[in-house]
Amino acid sequence: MISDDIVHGHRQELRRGTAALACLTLLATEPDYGYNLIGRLEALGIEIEANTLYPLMRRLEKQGLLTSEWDTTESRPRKFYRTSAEGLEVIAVLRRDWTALSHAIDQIGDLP
Amino acid sequence: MTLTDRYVAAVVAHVPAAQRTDIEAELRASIADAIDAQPEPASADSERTVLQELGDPELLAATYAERSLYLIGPKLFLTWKRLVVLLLWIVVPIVGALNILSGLLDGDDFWPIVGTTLGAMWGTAILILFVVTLVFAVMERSDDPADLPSEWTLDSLGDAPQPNVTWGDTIASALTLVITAALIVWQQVAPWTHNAAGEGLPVINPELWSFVLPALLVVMGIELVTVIVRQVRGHWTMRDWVICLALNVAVLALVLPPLLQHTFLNRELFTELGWPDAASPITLGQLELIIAGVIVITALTDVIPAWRKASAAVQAN
Repeated sequence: MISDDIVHGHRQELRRGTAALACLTLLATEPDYGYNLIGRLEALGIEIEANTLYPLMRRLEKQGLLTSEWDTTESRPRKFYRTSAEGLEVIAVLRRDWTALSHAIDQIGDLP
Repeated sequence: MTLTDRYVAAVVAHVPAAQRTDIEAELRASIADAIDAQPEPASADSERTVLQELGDPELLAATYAERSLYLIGPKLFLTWKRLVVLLLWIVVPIVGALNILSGLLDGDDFWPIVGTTLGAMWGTAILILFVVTLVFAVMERSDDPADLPSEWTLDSLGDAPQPNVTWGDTIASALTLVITAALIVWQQVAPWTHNAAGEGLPVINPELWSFVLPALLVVMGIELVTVIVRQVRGHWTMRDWVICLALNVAVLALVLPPLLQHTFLNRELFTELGWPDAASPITLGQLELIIAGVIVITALTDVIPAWRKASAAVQAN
């Protein structure tokens, strides 16, 4: 019997690279703040911990893939992120890769 | 102070000052949002649950600051390991052999020689490990650790055509070595102070001439040769850096033990001078610690630029 740890490790590795893509894509459709984005990702079945997502958004901003703006109109000021033009280019590249990989895995066909 | 205040303070204490205000404001809003989303937002338990999920504040800060959570990462680890092994094989046997030789010359008995030799070899090994690890940990945290050649075979690091050894560097290094060596010899053969009986009192403990000071002069002599060889060749190689590191480690291995055991300065001279006395701001022991600190810093300022020059020359190749 294969241990849960091993399975968990592989699943985590598979998902790790998709966090940035999911984040960029969602913020391209609608700008958002960190806490709310967690909910949107969760609704899609993509689980990212808060302590991973917040630093990830800042890193993407630093790389110029996201832009941000403080919204102070409400009683609680929030930092809203939006995907930049460069971010959209990166999405296009990553999506192409994603499709190609998915296609490649499918091509292998059913297991005996 | 609420739990959130304490948590946020613990996070921002570990992020760069420039990002502190922004990260703090964003983190506070996120925590408040998460607490409001809890089943019982106003209760203390809600706050605890949210903060507990965010985890160790220092880990979160490191993720924000993109700081590595290891001393030496995969990029440098193999180079670090090879260098440690190489230096241990070169330096430790030399220190062992020199100790045995000086023990024999002093006419010591067998077991005391074995004891001091093993002690010196062990001390040297620990020092090599410490200094190399320190240098690599600094390199790991420098701006671009990527400029180390990934495939580190000695062949590929052979000759770099780019001349990057300047006369200024060479003359400065050579003069420093010669003047330091001259001062070490001079303070012994022509002491500036004499005791009542007319005997000269050198600054450095004359007992160190049994091994430490001659060995130090030998190491400095080798260093002078390498400086000249490098000037003739015209460029740095990785091997130069390894030798530079080895020589610096050897210097530290020689002078740190007497400095830290407070046997480096000649007590008799300072008693004769009457300084430092009870009214002096520092003691001789503290003076020796300061000298030790200066020597360690000097070694680091020698080794780190040497690494930059060597890797730049290898890159240019």
